[in-house]
Amino acid sequence: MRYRLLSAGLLMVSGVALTVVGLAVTAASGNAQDTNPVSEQPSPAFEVVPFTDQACLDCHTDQAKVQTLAIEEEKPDSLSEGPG
Amino acid sequence: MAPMEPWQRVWIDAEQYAQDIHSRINCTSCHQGTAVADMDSAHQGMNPNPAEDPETCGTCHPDVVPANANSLHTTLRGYDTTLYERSTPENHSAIEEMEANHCASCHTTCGDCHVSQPGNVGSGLLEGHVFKSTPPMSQTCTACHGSRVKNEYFGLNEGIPGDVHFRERMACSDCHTADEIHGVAQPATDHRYTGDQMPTCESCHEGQVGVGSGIEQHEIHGTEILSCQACHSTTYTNCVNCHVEKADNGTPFYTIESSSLEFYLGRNPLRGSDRPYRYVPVRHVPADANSFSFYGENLLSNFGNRPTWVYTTPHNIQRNTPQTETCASCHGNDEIFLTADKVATSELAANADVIVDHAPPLPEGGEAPPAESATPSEDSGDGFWGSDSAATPEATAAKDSSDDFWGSDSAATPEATAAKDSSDDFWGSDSAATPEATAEANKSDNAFWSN
Repeated sequence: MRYRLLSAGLLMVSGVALTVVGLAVTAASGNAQDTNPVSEQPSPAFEVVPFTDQACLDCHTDQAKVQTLAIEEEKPDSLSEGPG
Repeated sequence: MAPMEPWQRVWIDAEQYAQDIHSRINCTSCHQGTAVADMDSAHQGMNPNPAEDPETCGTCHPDVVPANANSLHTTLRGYDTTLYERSTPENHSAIEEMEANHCASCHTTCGDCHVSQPGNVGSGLLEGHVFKSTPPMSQTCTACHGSRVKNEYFGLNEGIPGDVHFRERMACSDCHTADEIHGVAQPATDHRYTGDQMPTCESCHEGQVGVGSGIEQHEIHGTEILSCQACHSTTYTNCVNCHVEKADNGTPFYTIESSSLEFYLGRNPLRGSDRPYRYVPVRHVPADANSFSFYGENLLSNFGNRPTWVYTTPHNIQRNTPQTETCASCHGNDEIFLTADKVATSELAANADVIVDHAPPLPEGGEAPPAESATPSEDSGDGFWGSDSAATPEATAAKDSSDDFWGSDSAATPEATAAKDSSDDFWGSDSAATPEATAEANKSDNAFWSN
């Protein structure tokens, strides 16, 4: 009986310890995310707004559509001669 | 460069671009226009190159954009410096008009390198609107720095091997750092050869340059006498008489009446603490006094205020060159020096500080070839010259050019490299550096002027 109580106590202590370790790891990973390279995050000066320009992407990501719609810009033939 | 199809210039790769942080920003935030399905309405007021306004990129990249706005890449101030000095103040406005017509598309915005090709090679998105922190070399750097740097570096001048660094798969940005290109943390300069020397060979070859290196020929010549390129670069392009005009329909164009492949050592016109060399390779500026006569008479009335043979750093570095063969390759050999007989009579006065009277005499006992003299000593590092050991022009000429043009690494042709190297960052999305593509690229109106 005494042995069982001791085992239960140890089990409880182990559980608490594991919980504390888990919480600490979670907190640490959260901190790591906060220190991601600045270059990958928009500066606070830039106002991030929800993306609403799906209409632009719908067209410009549609290869078949841009192949149909994109036209060659008229450029006169170059008269240049020699290694530029 | 292979021309882009119209649709390729504007197509956004949805899968790739979704991974790019810029995809979180609304299209209209940068490009203006209106996000509606109707194409005409959507494009009303749209700005295809929003990076022309430094604030577009500068809002999020304040550590780079303000410096870049004042860099030589953006301002092209090096042209102003040389042209104004060859001119007079009353002619500056006409020169500025010429620059606007013939040089403006060489101006680079952030977007011209990091998301699209520069305007002078037709623009167009590099990789489906994905932003490239390191722009692909052949689609950006050598798209503008074409007929000289590209041809030299890639080995596209017939019979002349490419730069050893190229054969080691090094791209421009491996030496020319982002800070250098963007002008970050650097003093303002009015010409690229008057500021700090960047990059330097010593940046990588630390302890292997000049006196104290333990390398025999480096000990003998030192940096007080020779620049690295004086011995380790080889034949390069010299252009003269570039003239610019506009066609009847208003299209700007240029004509270069002649160019040639030569190698000349001259007296260093920029000798100072940062560039202490007595002799350096010198290259002719691609211009003469009448280059801009279309825009006004005698615009370069003080053409002789600066030398026409100028300091240059050819991008075709080799371990072995004609100069390294024997002492007599240079000593007593006027052929390799810019002597007065090689300079146009009208340019003699302008080049008085550059012209060499005679080659330095052969030193006593200097007749014997300095066998292995350019070989790094055992303690100088195995990696000094990379894998190249057979890329001299002579060796190249002696071999089957189709197999061994690229030196000991026969797989390092642009085509082979493009096939082998899966990294698009090196070559960009096409293998634009083939000789055929180069010939096409050389027709570009606004290629590289090296002075």
